[in-house]
This record gives sequence, structure tokens and C-alpha cells, in this order.
Amino acid sequence: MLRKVVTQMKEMRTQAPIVFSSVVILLGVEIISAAIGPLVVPDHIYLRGYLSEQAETSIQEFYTGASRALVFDEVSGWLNRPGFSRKKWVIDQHGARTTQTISSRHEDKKRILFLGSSLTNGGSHIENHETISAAIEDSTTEALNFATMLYSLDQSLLLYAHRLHEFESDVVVVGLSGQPYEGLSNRFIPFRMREESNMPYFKPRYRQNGQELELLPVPSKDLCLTVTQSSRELALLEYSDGYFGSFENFKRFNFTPLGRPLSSLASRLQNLGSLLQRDETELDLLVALMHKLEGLTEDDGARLVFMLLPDQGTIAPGWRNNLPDKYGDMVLRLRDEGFELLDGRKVLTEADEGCSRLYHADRRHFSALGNRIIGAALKPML
Amino acid sequence: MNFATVGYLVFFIIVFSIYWTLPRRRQNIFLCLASYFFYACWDYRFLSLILISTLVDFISGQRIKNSTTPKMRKTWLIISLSVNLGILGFFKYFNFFADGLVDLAGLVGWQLSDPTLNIILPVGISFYTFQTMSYSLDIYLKKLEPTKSLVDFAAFVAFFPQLVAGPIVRAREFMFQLESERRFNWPDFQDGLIRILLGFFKKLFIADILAVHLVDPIFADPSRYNSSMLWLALAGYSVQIYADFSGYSSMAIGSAKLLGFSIPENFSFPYLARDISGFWRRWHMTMSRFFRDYIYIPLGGNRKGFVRAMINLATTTLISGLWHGAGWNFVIWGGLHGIYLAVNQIWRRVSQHHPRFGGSGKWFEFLPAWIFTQLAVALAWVMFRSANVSGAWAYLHGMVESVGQESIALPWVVTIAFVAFIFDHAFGWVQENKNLSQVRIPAPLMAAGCVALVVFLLHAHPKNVDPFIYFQF
Repeated sequence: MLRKVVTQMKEMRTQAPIVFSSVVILLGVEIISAAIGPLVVPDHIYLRGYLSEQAETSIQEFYTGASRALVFDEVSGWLNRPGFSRKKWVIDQHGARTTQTISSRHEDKKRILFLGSSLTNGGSHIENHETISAAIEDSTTEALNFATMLYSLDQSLLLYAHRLHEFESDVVVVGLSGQPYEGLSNRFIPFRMREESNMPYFKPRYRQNGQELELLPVPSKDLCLTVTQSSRELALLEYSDGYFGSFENFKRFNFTPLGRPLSSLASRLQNLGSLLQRDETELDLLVALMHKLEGLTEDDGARLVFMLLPDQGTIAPGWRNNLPDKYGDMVLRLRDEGFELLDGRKVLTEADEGCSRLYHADRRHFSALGNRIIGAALKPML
Repeated sequence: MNFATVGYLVFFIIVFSIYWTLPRRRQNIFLCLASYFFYACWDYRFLSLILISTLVDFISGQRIKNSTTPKMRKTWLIISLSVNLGILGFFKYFNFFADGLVDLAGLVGWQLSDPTLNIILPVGISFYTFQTMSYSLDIYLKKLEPTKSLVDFAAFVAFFPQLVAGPIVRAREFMFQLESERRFNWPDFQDGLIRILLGFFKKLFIADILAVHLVDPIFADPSRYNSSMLWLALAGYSVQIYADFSGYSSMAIGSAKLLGFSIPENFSFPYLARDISGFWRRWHMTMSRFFRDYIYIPLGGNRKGFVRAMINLATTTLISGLWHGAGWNFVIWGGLHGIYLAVNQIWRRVSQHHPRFGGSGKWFEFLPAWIFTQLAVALAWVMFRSANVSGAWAYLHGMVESVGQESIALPWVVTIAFVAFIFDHAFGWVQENKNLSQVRIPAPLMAAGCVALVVFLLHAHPKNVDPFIYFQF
């Protein structure tokens, strides 16, 4: 067999010399790109190719304070800009999405604080009164929705710990996505979501150190601003961002005809592999953070309730129905840990409405109807 | 399954790998099945049309050959042509003629209800129906013997590299290849790969870049832009349609070569033509010869006097225009080229009788002719590209007198695309005018160029691949 291959290669060399030379040159280019390029070219140069032009502009705008919707925060990474409004999305002077003016604490009203990401915030396609938080309000209940775009649980925890005690809430409701563990090992958003060009920001993260949780804070504004001009911060991210590997792959395999499709194929197979296997440890950090937040809210005399808010693919999985039910496993684990939990999948499935009516076109955020249904299920728990 | 996609690449690699392990008879069966699969990926419902066309013409071919009387021969030919033209006419032209009938009735005061149907145009129908008709016609004209193998004939009709947008291959050029032994050889493999790569470059880079950044935005709303932009967009479209179609043809020819087949060239640097006849000897050559051999010449060609020749020319070009699309703008485009060809014929007659008008062949004499020819072709492209006749007139008006004031800041890749096209045609000019037989470019240098081209394409092509322009026909 080997002899046959060698014979064919010799024939190719004499009868198709251009093809033969192309194969040799191509392999050389692949090796240089994968092995030598990253040793010679600084990381921040690669980062400029990794990020879109829009992403680079967004970084400059945000860290110089020119971003309209969000402000830099040294604790949680970013906050809603108080007083900002655009079309349906209105943020009050506290930085929350509310339906009424919230000032001093009313003793005859239960105060509910909402934390989480845009899934809890509602997103810009619905009005303030169409959010989950608005759905639970009545004459005896008021809600402050501090959920912020792209927040992970670690950011929600830090936001609560540093800024939201003063609101003296009775209940803290934290919205989690269907895969809430995914953002917890991430520090630079584009490493996890390369396509994110509006919010390519730095966030804090916790790392488990035995039983302890070690906080890796948000880098300074200057470091963030110069991330595409200096490799200093990238060197730190190599050891502190769990998604640095995607950038590594980009450096080595993005520029060549064989490397890019092979790397893409490997990535897809890896994703498929992660769908097929159950990994208990990926929930450990999530559980640890949830317990930490529980401790903080208990110290404040507040109850803590979590909402699991799955995407449309989790409600209607199609062929993925044959794969391990990681969402179901997560619900069981979290309930075993003693957390008060609203299972969004159960609520939405029992509502018996079509997915297209429950979700926005992006298949992740909820429509006004979806928010109402979740709010109605949440209210008795409060 | 678009040629310029990963899906086609995977499909072709699988077909290629299996194909060369099979003996000839099984190769043809496999090729036939692979081609049907390829077509089904576009729309499986229209496989039935190819099958009908194949069966009807296979049987017709046999019957034409075996008929004992001229009347029977003609009858079977008519059956073949009727079925093929009937399918083509219904799917492509029903709504066009229905709308025309309603408009005509309206002119004389009759109000007819709108009879148009929601008909989907099957991909490639204009191409494969012509191929199958050429089979029956060649047998009728005694230029070809019918094949005894339905599989071979089906493989010819459905041959996937050229199924959806040509080149239009005649049975007598292809059937014998199906009936011969084919052996893998490295030179053909190399040639085929290079043709495919060049085709990719023309399509993915030149054509799509010009479409995305220049042609589509301006043709979408020409009233916004000034005259210069309209002229530039027209130049862009002239290059785009050439690069798109010749790129596809190049990929088709290369793919066929990798499978051991030789199919005719479709383009020969058409924008080097110095007169309109020359243009049609260089542009979509397989279609030109089809119309010449099966419409123009049977009508009498130029053998029945000058006036009759002009009528035959007009008929042929109008039908050619209609073949491109069921719309008056295509008919007018064909008519314009008919006028151009008639003018060219008249000029030739004048030159023959008055040699000083013919020129001595020096560059300063044929340069005006070249400019005039290319200008005429480009202006006709306005009709071809516009959605309808009124849109075309508006565009032409805008070229003469600025309606809008806007211009577009074009990215550098547009300049590169134009430069690449100029290089392409410059190479063609050198090929035609200089003796290149002694020129040898070292293989490693060619190889480096190929690899550079592949890497360049990887990074420079637009994110979304436009469909090939001629797929709509």
C-alpha cells in the first residue's frame, strides 16, 4: 500500500508538477502558520484580525465612556447607564428597568429584586411593562429589574454584593440561562462569543481554589483600552480565561485553507461531544456561586429564588431529544442543593403555546407572552 | 448545490473517489445517479422533468433512426421537440405569455382575468432541454447515430458539471466519451484542478465582490446615484456577468476533466472583440453555435439573400433573448444584439465593396471599433440586468443625466477585482497575439501562485455567496 502511494506521488511529481509543488507549498504554509506564526507575531496583532472592526470601535467607545447604553464598572464589568432609553428599553435613575418610580422603601409593599442577563431584563424588543418583573407586580408588590445584558451569575453576585444592599429587597430573583455555567470561566467576552461586536468587554470571574472561591477582578480601564495595541493583557488572559483556546485556534488555524476547515470541523465535533457527555464538574462552580449569593441574601434577610430560562432549542429539541438531558440533570442537581428553583422548561411546555409565540425571532429571548407566562408561574413562589 | 460551496466540494470529492475505482459501465451508472442526486439537491420534484425529457428523447432518437419514411422521422422529431419545448414553455414562459395575452386583450378593450400561475422555474431547464433536443436533431440530420444505452444517454443529459448552466454540450461531442474507456491521468487532473481554481477566483472574488459592493446597491436604486456611479456600475456588471458565467464554465470544464471528460470551451475573452460578430464568437460560445446550427442555418442562414439573412438573424437573436428570460427586457436585449449584428453585416458589405472603409488592421483603426463594440455590448447589458424595461430606461436616462447625487466609497477589493479582470483579458490578448509556445513558467512558481490564490480567496471573498447569474435561466 505504501509502495503504491509512493509510486503515485512520483507520478504526480513528474506528470502533475504544479499539483505536487502546490501540495508541498501548502503543507509548508500550514506548518508555518500553525507553529511558527504564533511565536513570531504578537498576540495583539492576531487579536485585531480576530475582532471585527465594529468590535474594536465598541471597545474604544465603551472604555472611554462614549457608549450610550452601558457604563464601565470596576466590579462587575459594566452596568446599565442610569436614565438611558432607546425605543422600548427604558432604564431608570438607579440603573434598573422598572414600571414605576422607585424611591424609598414602602413597608406595605413587597420588594422584589431581579438579577441576571438580557433574558431576565427582557431585551430591547419589548416594553418595560412586558418584562417578567412587570408581570409579578401588583398593588402589594414592586419589582426592580437590575438584570443587565450579557451578565453571568458571577457578575450578578458582585453587583448585588457591592451595589444593591441599599434596596432592602424581600426577595432576590436571579435568572439563569439554560447553560448558566458557560460564561463563568470567561473573562474576555469575544473569546467565548467571537461574533459579539457590540459588547466585546472584560468581565470578572471566580475560580475555584479547593473550597475557596478566588476572584479575578475586571482589568483596569487602561489595560482594557489597549488590548488591541499591547499583548500584556492577553498574556494574563491565557491563564485566566477558560475560552482562550478559541483564540489560540484562531492564531494557528484561521489563515490557511486546510487549517480553517479542519479546525472548524474539530470544533463542531467537540461541541457535539460535549452534548453527548455528562460532566458533573461543570456545575460545581455554578453551585458554589449560587451558595455564595444565598449567603449574601440571607445576611440581608431576603429570600433567594432562581429561574432557569431555557432557549427555544431546549423546549423543542428536535433530534437533540435523543441526547443526554443536561438541562434536566441541572434542575435535579440544583434542587438537590436546596435552591428554590423555577423550571422554565416545565412552565413553558405546560403553557401549550407554540414556540414561535413564546420566543423572540432570535429563539433565546422571550416574547411578551413568554414573559407573562413565566411571571405568572413565578408569582406564587414569591 | 452551488459549485462555490463546501457542500459541492465534499460531494465532488466523494464522487471522484468512488468514480475512479469503477469500471466504465459502472462509472456511467454511478455518474448518472450522482448527477440525479446533485440535481435533487436543488429541487427533487423536478427530477421527473429530466427523466421525462431523457426517456422521450432516447426513444425518439431510436425511432427517428429506425423509421422507414421521412414522414415518420419528422413525426418523431416533432414529438421530441414538442415535449422538450412544451416543458420549457410551460415552466419558463407560461406567465410571460399569459401576461402578454392579458395586456394585448386590454389594448383592444377585452378584460381577461389574470391566468398566471405560481410556477417555480426548474434549475437548468433551459440548458438540458437544449441538450436533449440537439440529440434528436443531430440524429434527424444524420450527424449522429442513436445510442443503444439508456444509461449512457441519461448520464449525458444529467451530467452534473454542466447540468444547471452549461456549457451546452452536443451529444456527438460527448456520447463517444461515455462509450470509451476513461483512465485517470495526472495531467488532466492538474488541468482540471487549475481550471476549477481559476473558476472559483472569477466567481468568488471578481464577480461576487463587484456584485456586493458596486453593482447590486446601484442597480437596486439607480435614482439615488450620479451618472458616474451608474457608468461605473455598468462597467462592474459587464465584468461581473463575464466573471460569474465564465467562472462557472471554468469550474464545469475542470470538474468534467477530473472525471475524464472534455467539454467545449464557453468563453474566449469576449471583451477583446472588435466587432459584434467577434463578440458572439467569444461569448457563451456553445449557446451561440446551438442557435446558429439549429435555428439560423435551418432558417436559411445567409444563403437566401441579404434581406432574408437579416430576418433570420433578427429571429435568432430575439429567440436567444427570450431564451435568457421570460421578460420583455430580455427580448429587447436580444433585439438590440440583432440590430448590432445587422449593422455589422452591412458594414462588412460596405467594406468589401469599398476597401478603404475596411481599414488596414492597425491598432488606431481597430481601437475605435473595439470601443464602439464594447460600448454597444455594455449598454445592452442595462436591459439584461434591470428588472424590467422601465427600470432599464430609467437607468439609461440616469447615465446621461444625473438624477441622484450620491456616490459610493468603494473598498479596495473592488479595484483589485477590476485589475484581476484586466489581467485576465490581457493574458488572453497576449495568448492570441504573441507566440507563447516558448514561454515556460516553472512549476514551483505556478504552484506558489495557486496556493497564494487559494489563501487569498479564503480571506477576501464575500461572506455570502451569490447564486450564479445564469442559474436563473
